[in-house]
Amino acid sequence: MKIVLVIAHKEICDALRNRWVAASALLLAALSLTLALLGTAPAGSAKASMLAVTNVSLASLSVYLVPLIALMLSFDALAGEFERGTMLLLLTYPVQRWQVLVGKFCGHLCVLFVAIVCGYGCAALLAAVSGDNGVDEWFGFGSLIGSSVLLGAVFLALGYLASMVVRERATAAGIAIGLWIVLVVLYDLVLLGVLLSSQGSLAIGEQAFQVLLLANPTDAYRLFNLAGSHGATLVSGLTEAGGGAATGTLLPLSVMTVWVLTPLVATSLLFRRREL
Amino acid sequence: MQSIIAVSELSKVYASGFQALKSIDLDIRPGEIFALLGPNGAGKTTLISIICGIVNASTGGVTVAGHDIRRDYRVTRAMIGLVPQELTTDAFESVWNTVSFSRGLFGKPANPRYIEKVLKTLSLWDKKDDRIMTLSGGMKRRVLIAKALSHEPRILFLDEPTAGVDVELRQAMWEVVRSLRDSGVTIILTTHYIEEAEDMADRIGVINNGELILVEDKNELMRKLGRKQLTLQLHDPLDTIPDKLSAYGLELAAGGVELIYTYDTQGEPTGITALLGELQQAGIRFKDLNTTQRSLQEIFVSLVKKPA
Repeated sequence: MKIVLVIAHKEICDALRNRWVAASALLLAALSLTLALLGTAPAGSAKASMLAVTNVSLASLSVYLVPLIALMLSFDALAGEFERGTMLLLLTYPVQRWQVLVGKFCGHLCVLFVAIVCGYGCAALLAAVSGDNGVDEWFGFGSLIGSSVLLGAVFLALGYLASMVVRERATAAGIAIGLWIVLVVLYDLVLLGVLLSSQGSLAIGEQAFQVLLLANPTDAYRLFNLAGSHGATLVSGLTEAGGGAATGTLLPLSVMTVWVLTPLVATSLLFRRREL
Repeated sequence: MQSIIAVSELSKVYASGFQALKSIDLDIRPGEIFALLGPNGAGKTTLISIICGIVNASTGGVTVAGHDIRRDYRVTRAMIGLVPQELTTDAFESVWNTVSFSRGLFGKPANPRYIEKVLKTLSLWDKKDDRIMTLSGGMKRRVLIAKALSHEPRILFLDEPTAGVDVELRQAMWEVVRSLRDSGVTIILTTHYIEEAEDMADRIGVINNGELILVEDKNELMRKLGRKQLTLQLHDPLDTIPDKLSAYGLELAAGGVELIYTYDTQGEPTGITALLGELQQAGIRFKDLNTTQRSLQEIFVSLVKKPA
């Protein structure tokens, strides 16, 4: 356990030193404040509180930004160390390969956590000043932070997998970008296309559509946040496409957890088998 | 004397089918400097990598101070420090942090006083807060040695430690290596500078095509294989060597003005007195003579060129 903590500590120090934490937190803070200040206008007659609207806006923002930050943190984590030769030296120490992976994962997750809490915390502070937020909205905000970190964990794990299957960091970066485009952008576009082309009567069946929607971690994240709060449901329409409250919060969380564990285990197995 | 590293019937076949090591047996004695020599691709780095735990052996085993390197990997790796061939350091990290990080990975409590001592020994103390990327190649090499020493190892592997290092720094590094040996650290080094092995090592191993073809005490090796040559500068050039002198295996060189006699220093007699007597009888006069000893480099070349 101590080894995992030493490696995690090193990753955190590295991220602090190369301004990753500061840059990520500032970016998220700037965008969340912008959304909090300008994003309340579309609430219209829904009479949702400022925090509820901010939660919905931040959920949409997170879908794009958190995976990107996570992939940028992780794509280099293994391939970069192999390429620089530092992994070779690291593995001569009394550490096991899974400890290296878990240590890096914990460190990067801490970096993401701090960046998300600091970044989104600014918007929450602004909403708190407005003073018309209920417990439900604050709970929604807490869920947003937690699920954003979980979404980040998904893409950290995917980034490690990309970093393990290739030997060059440039290739790993290419795979990471590809993953982001497919899971964050293209997947939803394809589903939207299916939805529009069916004009209301889904050829693949509503249940299959829901499964497809949930199968994508970013959509699972969206469903979790938009179905998890009454205020958020008021100002969003997307949950209806995913079956709304029927999906609940447990299922999207479970899907995201599977998306964390599966790439991590796969990376660990590949790492164990890799001949140096 | 019980060996600190015992390698037994060690073989390694890579996934590509390349056999890097062929049934190696080797014992390293505690407190010695052991030089492992071999041409590129001979298997030196593979052998070191297996002992250090980064490559798995196909067959055979290794023990370090009696502990199996697979079963007791924590114990064995904690006893070993490796200075790799490549300059593998985190470029943006400071010298102090990278050395301290290495110590932490061995599960050792922080010991700033010890790290300070190591950095001062390696003349890195003034650079402790500098980023590694700002250091010269030689300094980076020292940082790697400091990392390898951070956990107070009993065994230090130096894989081509002076490659690309200038002469002055190289000599300073060897001073450090000697002082480490004097403090009880066992040192295993590979180097392309064979004169360094000749100068530094207590024992020498020669590996070629994955086979350990020789392990010998350095002085014994020089004694056994270090034949000498006597070169006579003749007054008048010779066309051929007289038949009377054929038993000495003489060679004519430099257009017939040099006569070379190769002899075994351990031979009793060496044959020099008899040769000089016979030269006088044959009327062959010489104006000068000198002797040269075969260097370790020549011994090494003759060993690795020998057909398998």
